[in-house]
Amino acid sequence: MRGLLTCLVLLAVPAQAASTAQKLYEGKCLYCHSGASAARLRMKPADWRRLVERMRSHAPLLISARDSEVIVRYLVNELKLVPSESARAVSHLRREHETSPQPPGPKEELPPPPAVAGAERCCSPSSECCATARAQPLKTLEPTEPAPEPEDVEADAKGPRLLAEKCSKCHTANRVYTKIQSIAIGYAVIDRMRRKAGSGISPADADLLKRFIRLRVSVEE
Amino acid sequence: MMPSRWAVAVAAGGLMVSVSTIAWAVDLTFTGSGAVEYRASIGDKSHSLPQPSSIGIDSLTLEFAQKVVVDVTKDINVNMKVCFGCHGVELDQGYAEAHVKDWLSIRTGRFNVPLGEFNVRHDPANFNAPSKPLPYAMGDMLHYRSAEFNLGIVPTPYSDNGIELFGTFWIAHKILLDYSAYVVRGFVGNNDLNFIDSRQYVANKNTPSVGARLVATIGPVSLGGSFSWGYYDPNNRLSYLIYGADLYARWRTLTLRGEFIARQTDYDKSLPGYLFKPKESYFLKAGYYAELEWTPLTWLSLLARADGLVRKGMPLPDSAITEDSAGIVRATGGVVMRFLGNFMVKAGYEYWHFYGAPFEDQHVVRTALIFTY
Repeated sequence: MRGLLTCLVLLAVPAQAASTAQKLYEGKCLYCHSGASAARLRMKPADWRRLVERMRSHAPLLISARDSEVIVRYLVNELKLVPSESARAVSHLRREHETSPQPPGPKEELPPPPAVAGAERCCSPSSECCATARAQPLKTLEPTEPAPEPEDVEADAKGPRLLAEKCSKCHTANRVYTKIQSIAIGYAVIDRMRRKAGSGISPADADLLKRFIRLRVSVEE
Repeated sequence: MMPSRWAVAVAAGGLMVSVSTIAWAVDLTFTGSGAVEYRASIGDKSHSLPQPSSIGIDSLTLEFAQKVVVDVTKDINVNMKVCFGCHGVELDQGYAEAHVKDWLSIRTGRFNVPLGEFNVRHDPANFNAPSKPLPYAMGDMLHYRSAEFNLGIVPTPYSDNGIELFGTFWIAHKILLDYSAYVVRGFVGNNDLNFIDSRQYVANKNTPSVGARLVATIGPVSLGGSFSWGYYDPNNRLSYLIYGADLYARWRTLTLRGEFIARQTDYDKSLPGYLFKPKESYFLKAGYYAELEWTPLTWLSLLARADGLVRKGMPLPDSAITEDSAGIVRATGGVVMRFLGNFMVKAGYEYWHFYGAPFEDQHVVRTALIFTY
């Protein structure tokens, strides 16, 4: 009986990961693009990575670095939007990866597996990925990675929801996601909006949002 | 001499470009929106409906807005917003803002006067309902003419020239209190407010109007109150007083907005043509709306709204309204779909009921395609 349960759990984990990746793809990429526009593209994994990173630079508050990794893997491994020879290479690599602990040099770089998801970014507090994030542990750190400040962890977890709640009082979320592309502009916008009568953005909210912006945008700067 | 609107618009555009060029080293934010809106009125149209707009066909109208914000320093910014809509090119905003302390900032120029909750989000991209609430209705309102209901309570956008002090206090780490106090040129008119004349950049009016707004926010709930007072005639004999309260609350995917706003407007009792002998020297116009919005999906919102407009007091000479109590009650259902990030489609149905006025009830459907950037 215990063996059966273990098998079920082992089977369920990849399915859940695929489901999370799909939700991320739908929540982040299809937020601005139609599914058809991605489906007709065939690119090598490295090109997908470049493209997704470019999209992330346009909307860093919507797409995090971890999101982009998951999305690239989903595009390559699940949707298989790669040239036919790359698809074969990816399949070959996956097989070797599964059978051998130290596979020979890859012909095509496979996107690395994502870190255990932290607080997933959501388009709205109601989205399912937000619920998934709440159910998951905050962060799994690489051994060499310095421990993040608790304020950063809090900003990373609460930032998306707070942004959606406060900004959507007067704006569509897209305007927020696509306008804040540098820390300086992000800080200026937060300060300007906070001072508007009735914004409902407290100093603590503003601090958290600024920290969130710094975490998300600093990579691009 | 009244400057031409086109000349002002060209000057504003030029200033926008020059400011952008000069201030290239500082942060610039460009935003804008456009909306193509269609309204169809179903039912008895024998009574006067609004004239076709000078742009677009019948009720198909276009609105376009471009805004640029120049963050000169961390505490000083310049905002300029130019709109193209039913009245041609307009300067909606052109002001400088300086932040002194959290509890004190100064804004001067032409800005959106903080009167009521709806005015700050008047852009079609910033509200989900298929039309503006009746207290803020403009040319999209049925029977809006001066000889009928003469528009709503406050025009929107309500842009005016003046100076505003505003700030925020944080009380006991629980209540966020925002205030705003301003002196603006104010509304103008002749025996009632005239929103078209009030929109001009200069006016024959020698006393400014004053007003204030206070908003308290506790978590996801905001309660606000506003007032504005001033004379609207050149002789400082006829005044108006606008006051109102508003509520915003959010719980998960539900958003509730409600507002009540009223205007007491003096009229000239000595004029001929009144239906009966005037008693009070003013009439009262009050409006309200309650709107519940549900966003079950990031790309989909559904909303229901009830709003109304009441006019109490002496009907003005030559008005189609003949009762001393007349009004509109409207029920609205709407849906908003967002796609490709920058686009949204609105669709809605409205049922209009009139009383105290010889107008038939109307069914109205609306749809709009809006883009933002």
